[in-house]
Amino acid sequence: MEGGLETVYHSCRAELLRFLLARTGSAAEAEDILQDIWLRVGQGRSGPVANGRAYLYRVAQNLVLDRLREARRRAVREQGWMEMAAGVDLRHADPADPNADALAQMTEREEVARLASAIANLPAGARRAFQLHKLEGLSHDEVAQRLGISRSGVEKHMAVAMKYLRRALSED
Amino acid sequence: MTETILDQAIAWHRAQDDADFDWDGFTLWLEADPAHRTAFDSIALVDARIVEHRATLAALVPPVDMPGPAIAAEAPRRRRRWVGGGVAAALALAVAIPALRSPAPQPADYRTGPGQGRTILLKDGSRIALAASSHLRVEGAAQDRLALEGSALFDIPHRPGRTMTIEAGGQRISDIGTRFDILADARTMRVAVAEGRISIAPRDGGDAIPLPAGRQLLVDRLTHRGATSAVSPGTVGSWRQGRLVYEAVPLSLVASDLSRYAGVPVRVGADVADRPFSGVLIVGDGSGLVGEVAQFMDLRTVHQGGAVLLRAGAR
Repeated sequence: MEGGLETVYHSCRAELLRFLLARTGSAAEAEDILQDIWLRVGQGRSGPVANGRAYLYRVAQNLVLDRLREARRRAVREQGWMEMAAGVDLRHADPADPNADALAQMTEREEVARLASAIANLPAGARRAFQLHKLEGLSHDEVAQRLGISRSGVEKHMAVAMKYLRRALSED
Repeated sequence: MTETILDQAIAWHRAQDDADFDWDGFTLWLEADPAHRTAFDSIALVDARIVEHRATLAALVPPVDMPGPAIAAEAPRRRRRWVGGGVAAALALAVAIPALRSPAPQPADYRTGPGQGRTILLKDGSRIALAASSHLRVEGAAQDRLALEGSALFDIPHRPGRTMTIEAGGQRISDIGTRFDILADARTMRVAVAEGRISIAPRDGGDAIPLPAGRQLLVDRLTHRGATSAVSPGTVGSWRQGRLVYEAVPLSLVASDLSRYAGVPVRVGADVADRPFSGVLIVGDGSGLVGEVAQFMDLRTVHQGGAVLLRAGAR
């Protein structure tokens, strides 16, 4: 029922904007994303949804993440371009250059390797929980059962893993 | 960014897919401090990258090590440690390093220099990819007695009744019909099996232990101890694709491997030689390898003459 979702959108618009402002830290970006959400709702691409409010929040949350990832990819591309440009004639270098793409891909490959190394070096317990949950797709409950620990034990291991990986990816 | 904020961000992030997620509470938490948003962003981005590369990561990182039934008796209970017990006893007879025994009429020697590599084909269809700075000797009329110093990937088809053996790092490998990788220096040897299985025993006698696909054996030649652990079959021999993958390999062996690719001899201080290294290194032009290892292991690089020395202590 698209009409239903539209109604929910109108009644939640103010709180969604407040959430987006808190989530992005930018009024312009919050408005922008709200507009994106409206386009989705208005085009009725979503079909009927059970909990309209939670659905809209989830869409908002995903759109923020998409933008974050796009910004990061752009940063990687630009860095690749700058590294390449440092060695060549600047007049012919352009961020849209396929060579810059190749460099960005290389950077991406190195990042995957770094991530894999960081996972391999996690403390044993955190590594087991992380691999079973994130790489093998087991739920927290399934991981707990498999490792013979409590669910909160799994969550602690996962928190250790996420903090460790975050650090490993941010240092250069 | 404080530990507490990160923990909170991780908890919010974990819960966000729950049907009854508290969006109001999450909004209030974000509004309370801009650092909350930054922390949440960083966790969400790390998670997104894990999700994006899940398949690649699952193939690169050795699977969770649960002792398999095939070699449960030999499998160490803890990973990343040399163990006593079965394997150590079996390998304890590996003493000294005598010259190759039973000299054959015409042994063939294949050597590679730094930065070189070559593929050797044997009469029976076996294929051996020899890494840089390595030496393979092939003996016997049937080309069935091999010896390796350095690093090589073996593709040996199964032939019933054949008795091919490969000596490396003080061990003798037999019962071969498989794909596996050997890395050996004067101190340590690692054999990792991608397909099939092999048997491995001390060169001078002793009980053989089986090593199936997905397992690796590391032997310390000085203490004559060995330990098995899990390894991703897909990563065995991945040095041929420009990727060096290690799972709890002593730093000294990693260094001897790095010397092959970095263009300079790489050594490690005695204080860190035994530290286990796990990781994936992209070879590239070889110049970044030593720095990458130093960063992961929190080591200092010292340039000594033409060599690089890795020592304890931050750079």
